[in-house]
Amino acid sequence: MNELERRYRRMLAWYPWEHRRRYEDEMVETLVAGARPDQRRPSLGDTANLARNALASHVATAVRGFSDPRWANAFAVTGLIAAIVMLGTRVRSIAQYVALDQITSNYDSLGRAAIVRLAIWLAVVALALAGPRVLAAIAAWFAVMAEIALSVYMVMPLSALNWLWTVLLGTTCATALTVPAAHRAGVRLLGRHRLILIGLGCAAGILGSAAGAILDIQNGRSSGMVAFLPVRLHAASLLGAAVAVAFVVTAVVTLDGGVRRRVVALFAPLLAVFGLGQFASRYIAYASFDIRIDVVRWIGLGLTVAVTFVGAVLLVQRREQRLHLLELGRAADRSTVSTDAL
Amino acid sequence: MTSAPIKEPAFLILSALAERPQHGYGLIEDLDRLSDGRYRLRAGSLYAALDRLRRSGLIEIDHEEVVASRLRRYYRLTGDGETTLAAEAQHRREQAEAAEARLRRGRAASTETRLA
Repeated sequence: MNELERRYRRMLAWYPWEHRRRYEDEMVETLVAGARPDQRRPSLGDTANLARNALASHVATAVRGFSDPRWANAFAVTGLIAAIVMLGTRVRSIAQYVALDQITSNYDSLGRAAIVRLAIWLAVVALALAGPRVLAAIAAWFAVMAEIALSVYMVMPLSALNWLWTVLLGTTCATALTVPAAHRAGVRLLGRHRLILIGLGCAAGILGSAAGAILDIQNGRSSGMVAFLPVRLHAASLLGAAVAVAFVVTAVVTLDGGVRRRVVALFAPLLAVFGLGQFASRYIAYASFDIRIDVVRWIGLGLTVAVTFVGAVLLVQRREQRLHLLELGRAADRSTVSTDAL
Repeated sequence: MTSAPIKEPAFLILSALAERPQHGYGLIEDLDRLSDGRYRLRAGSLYAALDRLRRSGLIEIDHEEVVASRLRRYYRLTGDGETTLAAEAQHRREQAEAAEARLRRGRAASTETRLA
């Protein structure tokens, strides 16, 4: 292998492995055949052309990757889980308002808004379970717009970060339900047991939250909105939330590997934003008691969502390439063993 | 068979392979001749086009050989590739004839205007 060929091979490493496996050797032959006799380095034109086409090949590979039926199944599952969890969070809000109404009547308008949101998410879950995915998607987008409008109406800067993840969860749900999938694919893939598990998890979260709010009021720890601050959550609320998370995670991790990895990738941006929100609430909110999401923070949040999603998709691809190579290696080993036996 | 119009490089690659199977560098040279020097594809663009044509089922591998320790792979048209190329050639011929007819009518009209 001469110096020019080595340099070309180094450049061809820019391509996805699938493309390299099929074309690398013949591309090297074509590139070397087109070179001048005394040429030692790739020309600028070839370098730019290979870089541009390698990038295009990566994009094409990623886009083709989404045509894998496991992505459609993962979107269907994600849409249904997100819808149920959104419904759970809305029932939880109602439970908190009911508890707070015991000490004050200042929350009438907030309570009405919570009932509107609960009704829309209830419709989304009912439609997603029954089967008309398009109607469920339309209802989910309507619910997301209602979430955003009502959050703006409530005008509480501190709440922006606390509620942002619910808007993102709603958006994840609406996006996932918008992606075409087989009829009731989410229900079929999750199955009755996992759906019951998720439902029980949500119920535990709701009961824990309501119990926490009531116990806080009885103990005189709460006198209004402070009850909503995560750091003041009662142990009962935390226990309920932990059970809810454990049940939903159990439902996801017991899914088929290909769908499970993709569902985790679809929820990854939400988890990142939730983590950021929790961090900001705990370490920034008490410093200033006022978190305003300005333009720079919006850009940062957008980048967090985009980077987390792209990173998660790349990890899924990498993991599956590795599994594919392992399977090829095992097949080769089996073939060697059977040849030796002969 | 694809019904979407095919782009110029793909049309030229299919035309080059219509006569005989060819390898990568042979195709680059042939495309240069076929297009009167207007299309000098580089290897990256050539293999992107070959990959698309192969995925569409319009070309396939004919045979491979090793020359100076390097792999040389020859491609040929598939049945769908021949049909697509014939349909595209017919479509381009009709477009060229329509354009020439319009040009002739336009020139005749301008001559009449000048005479009047």
